[in-house]
Amino acid sequence: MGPLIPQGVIDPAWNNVFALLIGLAFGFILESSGFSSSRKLAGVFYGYDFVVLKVFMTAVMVCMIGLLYFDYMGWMKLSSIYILPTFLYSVIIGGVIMGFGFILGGYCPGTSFCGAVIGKIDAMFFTVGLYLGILFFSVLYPVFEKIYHAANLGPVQVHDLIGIPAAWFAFAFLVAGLIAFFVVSKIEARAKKVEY
Amino acid sequence: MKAPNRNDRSTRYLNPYLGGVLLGLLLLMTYFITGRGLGASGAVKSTVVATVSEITPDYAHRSNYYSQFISDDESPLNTWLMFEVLGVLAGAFLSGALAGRLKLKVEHSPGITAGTRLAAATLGGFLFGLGSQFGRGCTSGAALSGSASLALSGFLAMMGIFGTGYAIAWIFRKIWV
Amino acid sequence: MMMKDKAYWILAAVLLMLGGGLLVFSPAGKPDELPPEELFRAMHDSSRFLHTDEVTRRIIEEDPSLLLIDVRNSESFRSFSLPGAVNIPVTDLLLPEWEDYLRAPGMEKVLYSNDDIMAGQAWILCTRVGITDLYIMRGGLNLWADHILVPEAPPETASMELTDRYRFRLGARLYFTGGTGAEVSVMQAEPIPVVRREKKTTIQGGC
Repeated sequence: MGPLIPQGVIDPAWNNVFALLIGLAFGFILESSGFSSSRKLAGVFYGYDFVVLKVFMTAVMVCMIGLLYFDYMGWMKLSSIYILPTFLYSVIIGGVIMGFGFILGGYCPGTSFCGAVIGKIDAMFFTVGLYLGILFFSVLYPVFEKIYHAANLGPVQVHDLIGIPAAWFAFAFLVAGLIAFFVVSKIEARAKKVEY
Repeated sequence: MKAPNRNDRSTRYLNPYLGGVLLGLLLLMTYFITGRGLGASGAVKSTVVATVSEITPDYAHRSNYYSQFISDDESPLNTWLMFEVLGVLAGAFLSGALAGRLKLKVEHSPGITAGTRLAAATLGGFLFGLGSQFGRGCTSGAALSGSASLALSGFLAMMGIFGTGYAIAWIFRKIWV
Repeated sequence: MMMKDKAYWILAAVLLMLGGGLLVFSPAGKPDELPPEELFRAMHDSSRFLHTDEVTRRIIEEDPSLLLIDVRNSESFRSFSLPGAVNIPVTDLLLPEWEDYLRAPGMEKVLYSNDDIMAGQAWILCTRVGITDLYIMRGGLNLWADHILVPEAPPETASMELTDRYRFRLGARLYFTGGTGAEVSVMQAEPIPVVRREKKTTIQGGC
């Protein structure tokens, strides 16, 4: 049955309308969770505010469980959605660079849009930086091309890699996440309050 | 949430778990409708492609990179993510307006000047942009959507971003605390 | 402090319940499989066989609901097969790219190989994963060739029915061999380009 647009249940002409609506909800949720403030976001690395971890991990857990239920009910097969392919070196290099970007900039792309639109000037500068960074990559693409395409493992999923059913992995992830929330709340309660 | 002035509604945020559940449900719905997850950096990429192919069309057509995203009958800006990000801007503005958070300012720790903050933000943005291309997605596209769909690359991106963040947080602590 | 965080405990309870449900519901992670008892019952239902004449008639009539699936290897398929057939070797049957064919709604899928054996295996495999409207051409291509390409004339005293059937087969032979009635050499299957069907919309990535 699903996904609705690729399977032709909903006319593809609606694609951009849904994009707009989904974006609207996305932006609203991010902003009202406090993701428009870089100091709140950076708190996750300094122990005074774990909102990033909580929102992010909860979202991953909810969506993961939802997808597995959809798969089980036959509403939408897990094989019918886009699974980001793994290019081993490229994704690790990218993750590390993004880690530096996060600490220095205090935002990630989506949250910087939220910050910029409510008037955070630092978020606007971050967005300009994003543009320059992507421009830099695209101009030097011939240099990066080889590593960018190296070690392509295809759209591999973690449970296949470990060799356990997806439901087991999801459950383990869930338990780990809930324990992490408990622990960080304790840390948060002890950390020096930061005003922002 | 734990800000000292509890009565100021501009510092009152959604409960993080509620926010997470809503975001998770939205992501699930996005998968169900479109077959793919959420994203953000892709829209900036489209903007880069659009401007470059506008300024130097010849170079853009010759380049292995740009030519992937250019077609003759469609603007490189006409992408799903572009519309999604327009929605993000509108949604965030709406939420900020409702909570009384619309205010032009440079947010920075008292330990640094606004100029330092802006320089760090620009550099951070630059690195995030660069990294998102290697990672084939940013926090939303790779880490969030990828992990939720159990993609190995999603977990690797997530571990890369947060692992590096924790590893170097101490070095850059002056920026934040 | 922690105990007062009601949202956390509600979240934990709900997620653990849902997560536990997943563990209970899908122990094998293969929800679509037919239980063995039902498979057994289906296997003893002879209506899954189609007669070669029936298949032939529907090919000639260009029945739109007929989907011929040749489950032999691609080499055999290239050397000879039925017109309009799709080649899905039995080893590839459960690859995701064939889902669209095998689960096409309203289509009657007719499996065949040289005999009944491979087609039978394919039938069990497909039925097990919940594919319906599946048939086997009884006797496979060998019997089909015997019946249609070299039909045996019935004796003079044969019943009307047998004579009619013979006439039908002669006509069919004409249809398949392209008119030269005398020539019985096995016709070359017109090379049907089998394009592995791409997903309807290529789903693109996030960022």
